[in-house]
Amino acid sequence: MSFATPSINYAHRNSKTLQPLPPILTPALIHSIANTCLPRTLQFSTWSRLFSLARDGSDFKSFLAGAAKAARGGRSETLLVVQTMDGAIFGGLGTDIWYVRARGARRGE
Amino acid sequence: MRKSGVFWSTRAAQNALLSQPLCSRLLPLCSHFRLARAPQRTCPSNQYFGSGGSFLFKIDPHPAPIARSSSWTGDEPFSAASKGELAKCFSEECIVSERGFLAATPGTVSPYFWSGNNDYFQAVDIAAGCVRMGGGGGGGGGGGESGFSLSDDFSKATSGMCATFMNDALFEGGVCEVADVELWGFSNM
Repeated sequence: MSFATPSINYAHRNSKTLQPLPPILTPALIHSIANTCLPRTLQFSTWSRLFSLARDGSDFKSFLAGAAKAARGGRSETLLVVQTMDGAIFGGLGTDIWYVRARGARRGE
Repeated sequence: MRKSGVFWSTRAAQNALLSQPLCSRLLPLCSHFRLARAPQRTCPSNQYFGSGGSFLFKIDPHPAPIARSSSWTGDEPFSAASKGELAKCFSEECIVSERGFLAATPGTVSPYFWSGNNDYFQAVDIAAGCVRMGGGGGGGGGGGESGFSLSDDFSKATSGMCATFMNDALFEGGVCEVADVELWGFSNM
């Protein structure tokens, strides 16, 4: 049985304070998620942290801007990860880029 | 007599059927020919997008012993040799307890894949000020709880069972304060 070994591209430091920002998803968790959840087409992809609350702040526009970067990597899928104050980690894989949908738009528009 | 692929047995039956409203005429035909119906496929909200490759996951927050050094019994002080052995197993992501090794990021990943019940995969709800994944509770339709919902200031999250992924609440209590959020993307190597 072989396990996927995804590459990981962390942006480790806050650009203003240069403080180290450890990610929620450590390499061990990334390997675990890659091998238990991800479709095979993503298992050997390079992971990049597009948005981090600790690094980029709580501006929702930063989140959407980070999400828009996903398309530049050639794939629209993004993994949203949330850590609670109690230490629980949860999230989900979205197959489309996160964006604000115009009112009245139909699916696929 | 054959009409539109349906055989009409008698003229009386045909007349009786045609005198009824359209819906009541079609329903018996559907049940007779066992026409396939999409399961619980209600009209999706325009806010939702995404596809069936989406999934939710949760990770147990409580550490659990996952390995123990073969050369360290727990009776003598923890040695550098044991530590080296540990490092081989888990890289730098370990902490050491009194009686064994605990992974610093433990817990199994529990995924919840698409159930096929509806297609409320992901949404950015500007009016409600949140992003969410999953929807449609036990009652079906667009109501019910989201698989999870995250406020757009990233301060709070809620989670509940949703029909899209048939998940349990992704964390205890179903409402929480958020410590950190990340969005990960993928690129082909």
